[in-house]
Amino acid sequence: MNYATIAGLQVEYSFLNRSFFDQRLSSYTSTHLKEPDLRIKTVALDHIDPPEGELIAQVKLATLVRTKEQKVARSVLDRASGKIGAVVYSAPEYSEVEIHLLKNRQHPVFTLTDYEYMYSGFAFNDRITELGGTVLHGSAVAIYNQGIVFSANSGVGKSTQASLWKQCFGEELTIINDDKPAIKFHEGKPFLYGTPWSGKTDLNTNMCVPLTAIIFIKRSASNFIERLKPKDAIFHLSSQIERPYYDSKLGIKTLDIISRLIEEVPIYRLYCNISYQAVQAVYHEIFRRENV
Amino acid sequence: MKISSGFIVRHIADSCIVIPVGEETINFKGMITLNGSGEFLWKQLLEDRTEEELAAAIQEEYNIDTITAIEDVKQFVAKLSEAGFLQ
Repeated sequence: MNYATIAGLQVEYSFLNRSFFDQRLSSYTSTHLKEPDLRIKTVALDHIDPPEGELIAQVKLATLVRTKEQKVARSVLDRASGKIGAVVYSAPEYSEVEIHLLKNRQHPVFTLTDYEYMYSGFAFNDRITELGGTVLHGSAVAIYNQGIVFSANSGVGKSTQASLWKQCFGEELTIINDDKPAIKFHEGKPFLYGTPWSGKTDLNTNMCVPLTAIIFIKRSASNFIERLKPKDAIFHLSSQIERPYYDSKLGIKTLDIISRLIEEVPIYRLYCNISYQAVQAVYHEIFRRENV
Repeated sequence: MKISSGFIVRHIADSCIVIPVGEETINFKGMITLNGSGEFLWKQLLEDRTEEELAAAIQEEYNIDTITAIEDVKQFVAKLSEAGFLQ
């Protein structure tokens, strides 16, 4: 077994692609200090039998079953073959997750390691949500010990904005996570954390900073930033914080976090193009300084 | 008719929002906001109700005339139905 500390959670893990995950988790590894907050294990099988137990729900290609061990088994059919492509067994409160993956699953894009990466990320998301935190779809940066998240749907330009900031500020700026930074509250204040699940890139840093602003991006010919009204902030946050189809209680917990974020964190919409003026607009607003 | 399960109402900041959780997140993306009377009617629809019953309830609650009550209910129910909130 291996151990990592991710966003303050002690994680015990056993993954199939050791070299991939050793590299991705290299800055998060820790020694076994106390009872883990989360145990994740991945298993590859030539064939996956349907989990046995009481049917909870059938949702499109997914089947939810409660096993006699009182775990929830979520099995997902592989569309191409009609076989079960994955089963995720979750203990109560997502403290332990075992992921069964079909070994020779054919997919035009995803490899077995990609599935392992995605499902382990879901497991982390579920556990941190259960524990009162969340994961926000966005590109998070840290500067002057303050954290900013650029959020939007995929392809709008989150990573591009983070990259512009990196070009402007160089070593002064750190990219915390380029896809799914974690957020947790400590003594009533929100903090931003790096995690190894950072999307297509390996851009993530094991660090924690106070969360200063969340900025939703919209492409525009010109650059300006405006504070969002709570109703609009709620809409955008709920669009970029996952509510899992397989657990309505977890979905409700995300609303608790959204409520706290609205109270504690300034939330903006940035109309922007790909230019340093976009950086300037945010910099001036957040740090009240004229010159970048 | 009544509200489908899987939608919850929450007050966040100064907004009353309706948002899908669980399985409904697959069918419905986004959220809606309710004003005062909308929230009142939504709560009525947590139980099985006819349009007549809703109209009577809103007429009593807001002291409005019958025609306005019926029209308001019709519009509200039509919007909910179109969005897929009703079963």
